[in-house]
Amino acid sequence: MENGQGIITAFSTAEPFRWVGLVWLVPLFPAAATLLNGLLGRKVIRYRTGQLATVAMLGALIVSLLCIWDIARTGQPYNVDYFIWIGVGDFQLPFGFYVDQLTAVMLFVVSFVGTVIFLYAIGYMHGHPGYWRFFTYMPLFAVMMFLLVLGNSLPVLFVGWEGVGLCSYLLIGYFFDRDYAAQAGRKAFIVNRIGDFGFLLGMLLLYWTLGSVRFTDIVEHAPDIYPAGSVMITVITLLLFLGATGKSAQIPLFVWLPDAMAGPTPVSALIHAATMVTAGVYMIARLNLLYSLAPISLLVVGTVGALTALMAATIAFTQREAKRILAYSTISQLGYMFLALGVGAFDAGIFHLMTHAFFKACLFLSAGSVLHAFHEDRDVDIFQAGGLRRYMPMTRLAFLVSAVAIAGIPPFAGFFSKDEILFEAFAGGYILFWGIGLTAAFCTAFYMFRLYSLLFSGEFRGTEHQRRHLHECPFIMWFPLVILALLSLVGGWVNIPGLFPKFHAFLRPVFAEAHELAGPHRELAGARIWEISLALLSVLVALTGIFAARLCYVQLPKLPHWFAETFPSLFIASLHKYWIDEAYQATVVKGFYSACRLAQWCDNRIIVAGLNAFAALIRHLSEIGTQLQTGYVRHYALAIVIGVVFLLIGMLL
Amino acid sequence: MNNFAVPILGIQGIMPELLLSLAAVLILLLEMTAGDREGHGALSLSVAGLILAFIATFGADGKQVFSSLLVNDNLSALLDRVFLMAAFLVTLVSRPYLANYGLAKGEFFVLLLLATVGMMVMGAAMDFITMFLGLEMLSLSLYVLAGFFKKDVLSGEAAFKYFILGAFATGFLVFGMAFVFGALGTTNFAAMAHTLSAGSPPFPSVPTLLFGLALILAGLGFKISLVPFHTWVPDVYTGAPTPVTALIATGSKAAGFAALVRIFMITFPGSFQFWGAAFWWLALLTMIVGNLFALVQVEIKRMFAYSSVANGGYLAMAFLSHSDVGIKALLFYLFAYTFMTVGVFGVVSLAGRRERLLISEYAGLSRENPFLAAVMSLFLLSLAGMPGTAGFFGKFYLFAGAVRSGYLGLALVGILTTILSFYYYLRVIVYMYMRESEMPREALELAGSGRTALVLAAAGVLILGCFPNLIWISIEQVF
Amino acid sequence: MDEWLSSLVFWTLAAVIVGSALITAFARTLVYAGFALLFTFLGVMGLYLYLAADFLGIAQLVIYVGGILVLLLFGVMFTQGGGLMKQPGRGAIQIPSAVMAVGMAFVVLLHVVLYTPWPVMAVERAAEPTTRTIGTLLLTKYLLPFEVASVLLLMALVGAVVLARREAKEQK
Repeated sequence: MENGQGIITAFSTAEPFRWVGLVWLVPLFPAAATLLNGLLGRKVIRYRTGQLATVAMLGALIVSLLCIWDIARTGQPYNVDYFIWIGVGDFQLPFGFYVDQLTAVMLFVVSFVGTVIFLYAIGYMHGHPGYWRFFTYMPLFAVMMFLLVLGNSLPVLFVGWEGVGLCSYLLIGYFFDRDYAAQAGRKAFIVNRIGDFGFLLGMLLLYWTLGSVRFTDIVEHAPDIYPAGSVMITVITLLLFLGATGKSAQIPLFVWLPDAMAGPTPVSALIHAATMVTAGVYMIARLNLLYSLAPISLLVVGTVGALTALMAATIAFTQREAKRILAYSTISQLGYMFLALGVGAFDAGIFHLMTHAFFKACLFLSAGSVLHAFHEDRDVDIFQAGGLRRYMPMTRLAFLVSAVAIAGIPPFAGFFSKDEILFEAFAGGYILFWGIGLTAAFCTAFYMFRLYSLLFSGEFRGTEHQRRHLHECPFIMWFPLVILALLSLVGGWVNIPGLFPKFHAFLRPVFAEAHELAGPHRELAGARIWEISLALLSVLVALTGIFAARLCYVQLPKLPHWFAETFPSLFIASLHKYWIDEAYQATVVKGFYSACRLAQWCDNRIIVAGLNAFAALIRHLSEIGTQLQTGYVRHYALAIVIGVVFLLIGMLL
Repeated sequence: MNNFAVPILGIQGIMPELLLSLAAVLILLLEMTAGDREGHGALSLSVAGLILAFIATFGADGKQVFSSLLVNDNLSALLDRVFLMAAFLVTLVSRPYLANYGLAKGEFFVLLLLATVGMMVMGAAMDFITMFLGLEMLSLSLYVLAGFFKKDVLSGEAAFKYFILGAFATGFLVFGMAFVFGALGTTNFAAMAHTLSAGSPPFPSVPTLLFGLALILAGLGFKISLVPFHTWVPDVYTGAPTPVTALIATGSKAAGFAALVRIFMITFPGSFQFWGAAFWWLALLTMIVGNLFALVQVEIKRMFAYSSVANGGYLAMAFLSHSDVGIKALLFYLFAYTFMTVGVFGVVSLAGRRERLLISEYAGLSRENPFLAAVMSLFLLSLAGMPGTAGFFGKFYLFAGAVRSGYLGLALVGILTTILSFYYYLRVIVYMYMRESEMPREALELAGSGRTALVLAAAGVLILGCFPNLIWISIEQVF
Repeated sequence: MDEWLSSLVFWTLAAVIVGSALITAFARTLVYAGFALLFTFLGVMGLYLYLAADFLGIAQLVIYVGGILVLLLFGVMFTQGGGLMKQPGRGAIQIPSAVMAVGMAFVVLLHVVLYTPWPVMAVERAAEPTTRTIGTLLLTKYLLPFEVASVLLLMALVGAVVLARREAKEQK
C-alpha cells in the first residue's frame, strides 16, 4: 500500500508548482519516438522517422530549457521518486530523478546538441538502408542518456550507463554486414565490460559501507562515514573511476573509441564526442564529494587525464583518416576534463565538457559533410583530399571556426574553458599537470590545423571522378553546422573570468562542499596578473601550433617528411599509436590465451575426467528415466496411484 | 413457495467471466451466420473479449458473490490477469499458426475462451462446487483443444492420454472433496475455515479430513504436473497443437496453483504440518526430474515440456515456503513464467511449417529470421534467470522466499538445477546463432498478430526484469 | 428387527457393488465388464435410495444406467471384435507394484475408517421427497453453479462437434 501512495505523492501538487516537475517528459519524448519508429518505422512511417525523432528531441529540448530556467530561477535542486523500483523487505530502491545545476548543464548539452545532430542526420542518413532503424536507436540513446544524467541514484545512473553503451554498440555496428563495423562493436563491448566491472564493484562497496546509493544520501552521510583519505573511500572512488575510463576512453581503456568511428558520422558526433563519452566526467563530477574525500584518487584521476591528453594528441599527429584524428582529439580533450576534475576544478571540467560538445560536434559534422561529398561511409584519407574550401565553403567555415575554438584562440569557446583548466592546475600547484596540459595544447593546435590544411587548403589530390562529384552539403546539413559553429564562437562567453563568471556562479552550489573539503587552494598571490599572463602564454602556444601546422602542410610540404626521416622512431611510435593495441594483444589477449591453455591443461587432467563422469551419470539417469516414460497410459496411471499413496501415507500415518 | 429467498446476485462480481462467455457465444453465432474462414473475425472477437475482461478485473471489491460461491478479491483479480494475459497471447499466436494448417476455425477460439473462463472460475471459487465446475470447464476444453488436429496421430494420442489421465486425477480430486465435505459438513471454504477455527472437531483427530485433503492435493498435483503426477506432460505437450501447449503450460498450471493457495493456504492454513513434509519431497523430485530429463531431449517441444515440469517444481517450492514472501514470490513467478513460456511456445509455433521440430533444426534461425531468434533468445535467457529479465527477479524472489522460510536445502537444489538448466536453454541459442542450417526450413510468414504476441511477451519479460515493482505493488495488496 | 433389516439391505447392496466392480475390473472381455458395471450402478442407486436420497437415486438410474452405460456398450459393440476381444496382458512390473500401491491405500483407508469419530445420527424414516428442496436450491443458492454448468455443457457440445464432425475437405 505504501508503494502505491508513493506514486501518488510524486505527482501530487502539495508543493507549489515548479516547471522542473515536468522533467519526466524529457526522456518520454524520445521514448515515444523510439516506440513509434521501432513498431511502425519500417512499413508505415518510413522516411518520416527522422522528422519524428527530431521533433521529439525538440520537445525534450523545450522541456529541458523550462527545467533549466526553473533551476536557475529558484536555485533549489529538485529530487523526486516516481515509484519503488526494486523492493524486497527492507531494501527499497526508488526510481527517481534529481535535477540540480549540474544536471541542468548536462540536460542542455544533451538535448541541444542532440536536436541539432538529429536534424543533420535527416540529411546525412538519407537513402541509407535501415534509415528507420537508425532513427529507432538514436532516440533510444537519447532516452538512456537522459536517464544517465537525471537519475537520482547510482543504479538509475547505471541503467542509463549500460543503456547508452548498448545503443552505442548497436550504432557502431549499424553497418553490421561489414566486418570491420561488427569487430569495432565487439571491441567496444569487451573493453567497456572491464570498466563496468569496476563500476559495479564500486557501487556495491558503496552500498555495503554507506547503506544507500542515492545521491542525496551520499552527500548527507559520506563525510561522516568515510574519514578523508581512508582506504575504503579511495578503493570505491578508484573502482568507479575504472568505470569512467572505460566509458570516457581514458588510459588504459581508450582503445575502443577510434575504432568506434566505424559507425555513421552523426553517431560519432553525438555519442562518441558530445555526450556518451562524457558520462565518466559527469559521474565523477556528480560524486565530487566522494572524490574530495579521497585525495589519492583525485591525483590518479588528474594523472590519467593529463597523460591521456598528451598521448592521444601526439597520436593524432600522424593519423591519416579524418574521423580517426577527431577521435584521438576527443580522447585528448576528455583527458583535459579529467585533468580538471583531478585538480579539484570540477566546474572547469564541466565547462570544458560543454564547450567541447559544441565544437567537437561541429568538427565531426563537418567531417561528415566531407564524407558525404566523397560518397563514403567509413572515413576519408586526408592525403587524398585537399582544396575543399572551393567546393564546400560552408563546411570549411564551420570547420575553421570550431578548429580555432578547440585550439584555444580567444574569443572562441575553447579558449575560455581550456585556459581555465590550465590556470586551475597552475594555481593549485600542479605545475607538472600544467606543463603537460600546455604541451598538449600545442599539439592540439598543431594536429587540428594539420587536419584543416590537408582537407581544405592546397589542391585536390583525389581522383578526377571524386573531384567531379564534390559538392556542398544540402541546407538541412549545413544549417546545423552553422548553429554549432556559432556556439563554438560564443559558447565560452558565459564564463569570462573577472568580467562575467556566470557559469561558475551557477554551478557553485553543486561543488561548494567539495571545495570546502579540498581546502582553500586559490590563494595565488596577485591572481589576476598570473591569470592574464598564463592566458597570454597559452594563446601564444596555440598560435605557435597553428603556425607550425600551416608551415608544415601549406608552405613547406617537405618539412613533415624531413621530420619523419630525421626522427623515425618518434614518427613511427605515433603512427602506431604507441603500439597500445599491439601491447594489449601481446599481454592481455595472449596472457588470457595462455591462462586458458593452462586451465585447459588442468581441465583435461582433472576436471574433465570428473565432469565426464558426472555427465555420464546424469545421462545415464536421464536415460533410465526416459525408459520409464513408456508411453503407455496404464503406466502413467500407475505413477499417479503411487503418488497418491505416497501423499496419503505422508499425510496420515 | 415458503422458504424461497431471492439470492444476492452480484453480476458485477462475475463481469470478466461473463464478458468472455459472451465473446465465445458471439464467435459461435458468427461461425453460423458469416462463415469466418480464416478466423479473423473470431480473433478480433476473442481479443476484444479478453481486453474487456482484463479491464473488468480492476473492479475487484473483495466481496463474495452468489451466496459466497465466488469471491472477488485482489488475489482472484491478480490471477485473472495471469489467465487473461496467457489466453490473450495464445490467441494472438493461434491464428497464424492454425491458418498454416488450414484449421483457423472459430471453435478453437470458443474453446480457448471457455477454458479461460474455467480458470477464472477456479481462481475465484470459494466453494468446492464452483471450483470443480471451473476445473471441469478448463479441463474438458483443453482435452478437445489438445486433439484439435484430428489428422495428426500424435495430437489424437495427446488428447486421449490427457483425457484418460485427467479424468483419473479428477476422480481423486472429487473423492477428496467428498471426504472433506463429509468431515466438515459444508462445501464452502469460509464455512469450513469457520468450523475449524471454532475448534470442533480439532484438526488431527479427523482422519477423513486429512484423507480428503491428501486426495485433493494429488488431484491438483496432476494439474501442476508435480512428479510423479507429471507423466502425461511430455506426451501431451508434444502432441497438442503448440499454442494449446502454451495454454496448458501456463494458464492451466496457474489455475492449479490458484486452487492450491485457496484451499491449503487460505482455508486450511493449519494443515501445513501434515502435507509439508510429503510436499517437500515432491517439490524436490519435480525440480530434479524436470531438469534432468530436459537435458537429454532432442525434440524442442519435449524439452520445454520437461522444462515446464521443472518450473512447476520451483513454483511448488514457493508454495511450500508457506510464508508471506513465499506466496508473493509464487504470484510474481506466475507472471514471469507466463510471459516466458507463452513466448517460447509462441516462437516454437511460428518457427516452422511442420510440427515438432528437433532442436538441431533450429540451426541458422538467426539468419533466416533474426526477429524470431532474438525474441527466442530473450525468453530462453529469462528462463535461465539472466539479470535484466523477468526470470531473474522471479527466481530471486523464489529462492529468497525459500531461504527465509528455512528451506535452505531445497533452495540449494533449486539453484543447482537452475545452473543445470543453463545447459539446455543455451544449447538452443547456440544452435540458432552459431550453427548453419543443414536443410532449409520454411519459417511461417510472421503475420501481424503472431509478431504482436511475441513483441508483447518480450516486452513483458523486459519490463518485469527492469521494473519488478510494477507487479510487486499489486501483489503486495493481495495479503 | 428394523435395525437388522436395515443392516441386511446395506450389506447386500455393498456386496453387489463391490462384487460387480471386481468383475468389471478383472473381466477378460469388455462386454462382460460393461454388463458388470450395470450392477455397480444399480447398487449405487440402491444405496442412494436406502439413504432416502430419492432424487439422486433416480438421477443415477437415468444418467448412468440409461445414458452412460448404454452409450458405453454401444461403443464397445461397434468397435472391432464386438467387445469380445481379449484385453492385452499386463506387464511384469505392473501387477506387483499395483498390488503394493493398492494394498497400502487400503491400509490407509482402514486407518481412516477406524480412527474417525463418525458422527452418527438418526434419519427420519418418512423423509419428504428431496426434489423440491434441490430444485429450490438450484435456482437460489446454487444459481451460479447451475449457470456455469450450462456454459460447461455448451462447451462440451462444441467440443463434441469439433471432434466428431467430418472435415469438409475429407468428403471431397
